[in-house]
Amino acid sequence: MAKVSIQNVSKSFGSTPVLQDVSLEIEHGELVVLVGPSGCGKSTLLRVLCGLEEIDSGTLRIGDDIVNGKPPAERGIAMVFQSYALYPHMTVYRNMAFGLKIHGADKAEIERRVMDAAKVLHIDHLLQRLPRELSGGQRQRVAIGRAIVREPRLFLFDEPLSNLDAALRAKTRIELARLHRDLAATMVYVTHDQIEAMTLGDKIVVLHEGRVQQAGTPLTLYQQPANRFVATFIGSPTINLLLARVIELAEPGVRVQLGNGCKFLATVDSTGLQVGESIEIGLRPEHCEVLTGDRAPGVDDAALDAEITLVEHLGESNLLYLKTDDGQELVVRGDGNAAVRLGDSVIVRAAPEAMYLFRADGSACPRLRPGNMRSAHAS
Amino acid sequence: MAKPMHKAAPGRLFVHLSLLGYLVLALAPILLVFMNSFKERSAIFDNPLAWPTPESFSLVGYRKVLARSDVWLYFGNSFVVTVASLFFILLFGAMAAWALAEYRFKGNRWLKLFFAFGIMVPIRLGTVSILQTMVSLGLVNTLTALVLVYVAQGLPLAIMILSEFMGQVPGELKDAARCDGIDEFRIFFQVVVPLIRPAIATVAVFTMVPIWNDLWFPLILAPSEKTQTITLGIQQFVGQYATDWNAVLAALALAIVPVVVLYALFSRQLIRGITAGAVK
Amino acid sequence: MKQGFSWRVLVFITPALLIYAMFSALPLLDTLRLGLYSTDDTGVRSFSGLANYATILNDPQWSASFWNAMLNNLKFFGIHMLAQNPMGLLLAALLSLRNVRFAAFYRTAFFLPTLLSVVIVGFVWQLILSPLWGVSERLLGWIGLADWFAPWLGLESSALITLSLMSVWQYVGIPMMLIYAAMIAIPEDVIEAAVVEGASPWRIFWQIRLPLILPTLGLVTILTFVANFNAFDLIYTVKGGLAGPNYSTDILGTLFYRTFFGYQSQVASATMGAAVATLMFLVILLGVAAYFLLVQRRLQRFAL
Repeated sequence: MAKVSIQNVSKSFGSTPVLQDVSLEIEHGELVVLVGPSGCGKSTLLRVLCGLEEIDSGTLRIGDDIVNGKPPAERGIAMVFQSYALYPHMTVYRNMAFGLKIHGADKAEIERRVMDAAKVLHIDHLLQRLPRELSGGQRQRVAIGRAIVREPRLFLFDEPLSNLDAALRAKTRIELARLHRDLAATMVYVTHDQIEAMTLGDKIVVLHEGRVQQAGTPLTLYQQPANRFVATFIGSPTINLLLARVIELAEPGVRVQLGNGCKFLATVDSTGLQVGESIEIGLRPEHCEVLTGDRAPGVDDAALDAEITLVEHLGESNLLYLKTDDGQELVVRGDGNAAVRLGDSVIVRAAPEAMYLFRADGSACPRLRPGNMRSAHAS
Repeated sequence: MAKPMHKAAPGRLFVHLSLLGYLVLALAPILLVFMNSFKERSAIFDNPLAWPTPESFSLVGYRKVLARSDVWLYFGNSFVVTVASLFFILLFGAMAAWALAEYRFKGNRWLKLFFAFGIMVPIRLGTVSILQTMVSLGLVNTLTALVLVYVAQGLPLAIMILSEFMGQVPGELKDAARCDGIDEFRIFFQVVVPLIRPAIATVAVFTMVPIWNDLWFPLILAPSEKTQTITLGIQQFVGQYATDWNAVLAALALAIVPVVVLYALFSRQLIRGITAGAVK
Repeated sequence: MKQGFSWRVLVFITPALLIYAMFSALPLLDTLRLGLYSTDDTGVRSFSGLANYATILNDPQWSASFWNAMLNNLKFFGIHMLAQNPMGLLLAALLSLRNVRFAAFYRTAFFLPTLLSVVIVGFVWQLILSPLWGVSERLLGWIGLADWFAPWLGLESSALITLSLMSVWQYVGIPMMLIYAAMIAIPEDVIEAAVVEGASPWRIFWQIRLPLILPTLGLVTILTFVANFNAFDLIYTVKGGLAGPNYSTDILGTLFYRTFFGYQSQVASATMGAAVATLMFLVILLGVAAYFLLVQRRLQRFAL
């Protein structure tokens, strides 16, 4: 296994820039997930690592070798394609043996490696079948098996779960995590699904319009997003964003005021902020609470008057869609047992530590007490 | 997504050299005929590979060919036969394709097989009998005979291709129309046929070519002066004027022109049709 | 699909069925029947069973003609298989590569000869190869092979090959198009997977692309077979009904024509013509049956 170093890589297709000055370090044995919306460049970055596309500038290193300019076969990589790309006319065995044969391995060696991989992936009973006789999940395992037998330095996965149905996806996600652990392999994984990213990745890299927005652990991205884009991309349901203004820099934290006059404290680093600056406050639905009965908000808490416009029941929790009196819309995740109804006027409360603050240019002010925010309704 | 060719393919030079080489081979003979059809007789022999110069330019060959009034008659015959055959092939073919694709009835499969047979087995083998039939119907040396034969020849393939495409028309469309009380004929003509227009165009284009170019049936069924098609006409003409190079070259050039013109207009359709139908 | 047989179905089907049956299917069956009859000198026909076939196969003159035509037809087919289809494969392979500039133009141009009438093709090449005009001789002179030139069309030893190559020149477009369609249907990521595994372009062609187009190659073969054993126009145009020199370019199609219509010394005979046609039919049927029973099924494995 090897570490991977991507330094200042740029690529354009014609006049369209697809990767802009991307730099990334991947440690030995790490599973790094490249995530982002369509067109963000994640697939291109993967293909560039693979060698199917060439970069315009920058350096790619796998292990100690500089690999940009080298054909894929010389990079020590293996790729699992989104649609598996199995050779339709070859049996599962031959599909897995193909790459080894090209590199001149002898029959015994090929047999050993293919059988080992087949056993790990539970496809040893399918070796004589043709791809079209297999289910989607089975084909995917063959594609993974084909990559494993080559014992590469680096595994590349291009949205491998997107062609599976939901139930299979969850199951396979777990198996991929297990595989990563067992092989102790360096893996780069591309997906557009942030849940996959959060659950699988040792490190997540969020890409947008060809640039790295942030790279870090799942928790870091969740608690300390570097900018508005990352904050809205990570977390489901999407973070609520409210327009506000800075009214006081109160160490530690910042006092802000919403359009409707509501004032509260946000526990974020105020470096660089100006009084009167227009900003956005971020509030995750799971960090808000709908106050019921006689409970009152704290003195620094945000307390918003809002009306419930929609309730989605999820079982143990529910999603409340609300509208404040000045027209801003919010989503709050609440207790499934709570007796709330469409049309109810309620107070939505959130603690200062729950706040995210984003300046006009999208950059985030670091949260001072990100901690593990307990869901508001648990307290 | 641009990809350097060397990854999965031979070098660019090799590719272009081969393609250019074959291009010359494919087009040069035609070009040669055109070039020389505009030259004086002596220039044709002295310098066959040269373009016509002001000195050697001559239209004598064309004059000779066009002076024969039959040339226009032959073109007319070819045109009538081709258009009429095409019309009936498309009409009857679409109707039969619709019946076979849409309705489940006893013998549907056998009928399909019956027509499919006609794709593989050449109609020419039945010529002995066809000629006898035409004689008994009094249709020898008529364009009608040609049309009937070409329609019979073109139906199997047209039916196969059109029924493929008709099978792809969404069932909901037809059922919705039926729910509205529209009768089957209307559904066919006003709903289904417009939807498979690309397929019809494709079938038209590559049914048309063999009919226009056919030599066998005009030769056997309608060889009279009045009913010759342009293909037969050229064949007779060149055979007759074998030593009059000007006339021969001009005749050949004239025969090529309609094909080239039509091709230039419809090539995209044709190629799309062949590559789509090829999967079957 | 709707159930039931109704008068409407009849209306839809009848015109096509009628014309096809009357002018294609029944004539064929009738020809088969006619082959079992003989015509005597007064033109009276009588049932004679397999007498015609016995004549064709046993009578020295008939037999010689028939087997000569048969053999020539096989050579004709062989040359097409050796020249036309590999050429079509090569052109299709080149045109289906990505990023070939002007690919569409090449494709269009290569298909042009196929659209021309066989009559045109025959005459054009006859002129080009004519020793009188000297174009070929001049061209060969450019590459130093002027001495190699001969009036190939007029020589018994080379006439058939020359005509076959002319036919190949004309019809390369069809296998080219069919194979091209098959090649672009191969999913791009399968090729990429092979590239990533280290396969060279050559290996990709032989072990990935070629196997996946085998069904199309099978189709092309049977189409070539049927077309070649039905061929007539080119030979007739260039060599006339006698298919000279000395019957060296005689194939089954021209034999049929001559037998049916008579030619110079040979008396026309509809019944013998029918017998020849029946034999042609059997040959083609054999080929098609062999294709469907032996080849097509086995090639299913390579279908995408």
